[in-house]
Order: sequence, then C-alpha cells, then structure tokens
Amino acid sequence: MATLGEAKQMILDPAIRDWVLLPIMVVMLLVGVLRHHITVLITGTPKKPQLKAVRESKALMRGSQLRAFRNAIPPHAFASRKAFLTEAYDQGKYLKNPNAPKEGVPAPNPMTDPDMMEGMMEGMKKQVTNMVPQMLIMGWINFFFQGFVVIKLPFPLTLRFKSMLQSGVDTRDMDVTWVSSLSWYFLNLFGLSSVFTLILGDNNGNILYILGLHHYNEPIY
Amino acid sequence: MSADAQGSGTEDVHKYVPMYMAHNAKTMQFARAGLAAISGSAAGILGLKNLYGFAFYAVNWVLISFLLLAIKTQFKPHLFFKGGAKDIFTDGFIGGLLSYILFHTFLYGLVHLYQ
Amino acid sequence: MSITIGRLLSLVGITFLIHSAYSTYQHLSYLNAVDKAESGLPIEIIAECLISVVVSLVGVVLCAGDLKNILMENEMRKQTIDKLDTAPSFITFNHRGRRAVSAHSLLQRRSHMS
Repeated sequence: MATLGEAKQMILDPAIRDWVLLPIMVVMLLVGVLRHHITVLITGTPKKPQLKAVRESKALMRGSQLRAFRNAIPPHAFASRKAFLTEAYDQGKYLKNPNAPKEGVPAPNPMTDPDMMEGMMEGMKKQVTNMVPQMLIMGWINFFFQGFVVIKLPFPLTLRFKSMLQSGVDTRDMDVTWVSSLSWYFLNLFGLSSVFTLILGDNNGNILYILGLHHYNEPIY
Repeated sequence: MSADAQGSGTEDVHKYVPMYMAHNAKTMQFARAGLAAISGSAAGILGLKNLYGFAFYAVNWVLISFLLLAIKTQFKPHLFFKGGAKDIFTDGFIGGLLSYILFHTFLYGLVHLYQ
Repeated sequence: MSITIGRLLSLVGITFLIHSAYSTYQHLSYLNAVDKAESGLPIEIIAECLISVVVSLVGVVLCAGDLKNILMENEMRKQTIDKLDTAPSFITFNHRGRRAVSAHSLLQRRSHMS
C-alpha cells in the first residue's frame, strides 16, 4: 500500500475487490430476489369474502339507502319496503352469525378470532421476511469482513461519520471517505432497491418502503 | 387545473382513473431506475468528486425529465400526470439519488482505486 | 416497435459505457505503470462516456412503455351506455322480439324440411 501523499493516493489490493466488494453485492442481490420469491410463495391467494358477511352489510346498506331516498318513491312503496325491512331486521334474517347472543358479548379475542388472526399473520410474515435476511447478512459481514477499508466514497463527509462508517479500522488520520464493508452493505441496501424494481417489477419488499422514502401512488383527494 | 366537463375541482375522485395513475408512476419509476444506474456508472467512470457528482446527477435528472416530457407525453403532461410537468421533474428524486450514489461509488472504486 | 428500438439503443449505449470504463481502467494503470501523475482522462474517453450515457438514456426512455391517459373523461368515451347505466328491473320481455323469434324459428323449420 502506498503512503498518503499529495500526488499519490492510497490504492487497494484487487483481492479486496474480488473477494469482498463483488461478493457482498452479489449476495445482497440474490437474497433480495430470493426474498421476493419466498414472499410470493408465502402470501398465497387472497381471502375469499364470506357470503353471510357480505349479505349482512348489503342489507344494512339497503336500509340506509331507503332512508336517504325516501322522498323519491311514492308513499305506499316506501311503506311496504319499510315494513319488509323492519320485520327482517327484527327477526335477524340477515345476520352474519344468527346464533350469537345479542347483548353483553365481549369483543372477540384477537388471538382466537380466526379472521383477525390472519390479518395479523400477514403483516408479521412480511416483517419477518424483511428483517431476518438483513440481520443475517449484517452478522455475516461483521464477522468476516471486519477491520479493513473497502472503498472510497467520492464525496466528502464530516468527521462525525468516521466512527460509523469506518467501524473496524482504528486509525486517526485516514479520511472519512474510506469506508469499511459495513457501510458498503448499507450503501447496497439503499441503492439496490431501484435495481430490484428494474428486474422484479413492482411489489417487492425492500427497505425504501420501511423508511417511508418510497412514493406510493398518491391519493387523488 | 384544466377545465373539463366532469370535474368540479373539489371532487377529484371521478376526474382521474387511479389505475392509470399508478401505471404511469410505475413507468416513471422504471425510467428513473435506469437513469440512476447509467448516470451513476458514468459518474464513477469519469471520476467525478464531491459536488461535481451531484451536479452531474442533477443535469442527468433534468435531461431525462425532458426526454420523458418530449417522448412519452409529447409535451402534454396534464393528460398523464395529476400535477403536470411538475410531477415529472420532482417525483422520486431522493430514491434515485440513493441508487445513483451506489453506482457512482461502485464504479469509482472499480475503475480508479483498484490498480 | 419502439420498445425494441429502445432495447437496442440501451444495449448499444451500455456496451459503449462498459468499453469506456475498461479503457479508463487501462489508461489509469498505464499511467501508474509509467509513474506519470494523473492529469485527467483523454478527451476520447470522456466523449465516449457522455455520448453512451445520452444514447442509453434515450434507449431507457423508449424501453419504458407507454403512459396511459389518466383523465376519466377519456375512459368514459370508450364506455357504452349499457355498461354504465344498467337497471335490470327496467328490462321488459314483452316486446316485438317474441314475434321475431317465433317467425325466425318457423322459417328455419320450413327450410330444414324442404
């Protein structure tokens, strides 16, 4: 390794490039693709709506529409519809769960109610598939690739970042622009999300969603 | 906003088709991902540092926004985006910047540092 | 059609970009080998790099596919009234079509027999 001078700058061993830089990038790419496919396999088919639940909500909507448009129909038509609907509601004909006791029922326990459980499981599955590979790769990098610098950032940063970006190297005089492999991992983490968009299409779970930096299609109101 | 027969200005729900807006956003994102990769690589190859790197990104951003305006929308952006030309020039700037930094650093390291 | 042109253009552009990257690498290692100071890249490499960037950006833009018109009124122009305003309760079956169908079946039976 050459000394730091004004004309010459520090150059790195090509072995670092071959065995650290490229493998980390390739591994992150492949893990991202793998994670996308595993997510596709795990999420499975969307839930079918239940007949009774839909019927109950439609019946309620019918009642509220009758109330809203009561002035548009002749009185006898309104009276007959009102009689029919009130009788149906009183007898509980449209209820989703006709055997449930009507009063004093505590709210269903989230753990035992199967519908809510599935919703929670979906969210948790997504988070797990996102977090676990990241933890694993970070541990792998910390274990194997510690103690040397990997690449030079083309733009300068202040000294405060030195401890974060050069985590393993304990020199005082090296520029902050020389960074360790962990910061190369972070650089890849943020930068490869657009590459995933290019090769996987949309709908892949990546860090930009978590950080809130990604832009969904904006609401139109 | 452009005057049209259906929209009243406050009720935009029936003025725009949300599926097509999402499709357009996806198309733009694809183009910007390509921009980040290509301009980042070029900046690394040319060995740009500090502010020149970011200035190169800004120049390329304006270039691709103009290309999108000319080729994809034929200079009629209000037909394809809700905000018109402003959406083309400002959406996704930061996300593209992150990928640009990645490619810039990578190519800079590959070409200039490993001799 | 324009997507294939886009793919071709971006492929050509990326090839030239890779070529300029390799020639930069060669140039810098040559400078290191002869111990000259780095004095900026030769103008051909810079020109090749910039032109390949422009070409591949145009290729990427062409590759990206068409944008769709988002105005609802454009979409509404393609719809027929039957798709939008169906009121099944207002459909009647007691119209002239009954006579038309029976006349048609009579004609068919006659043509089959003769």
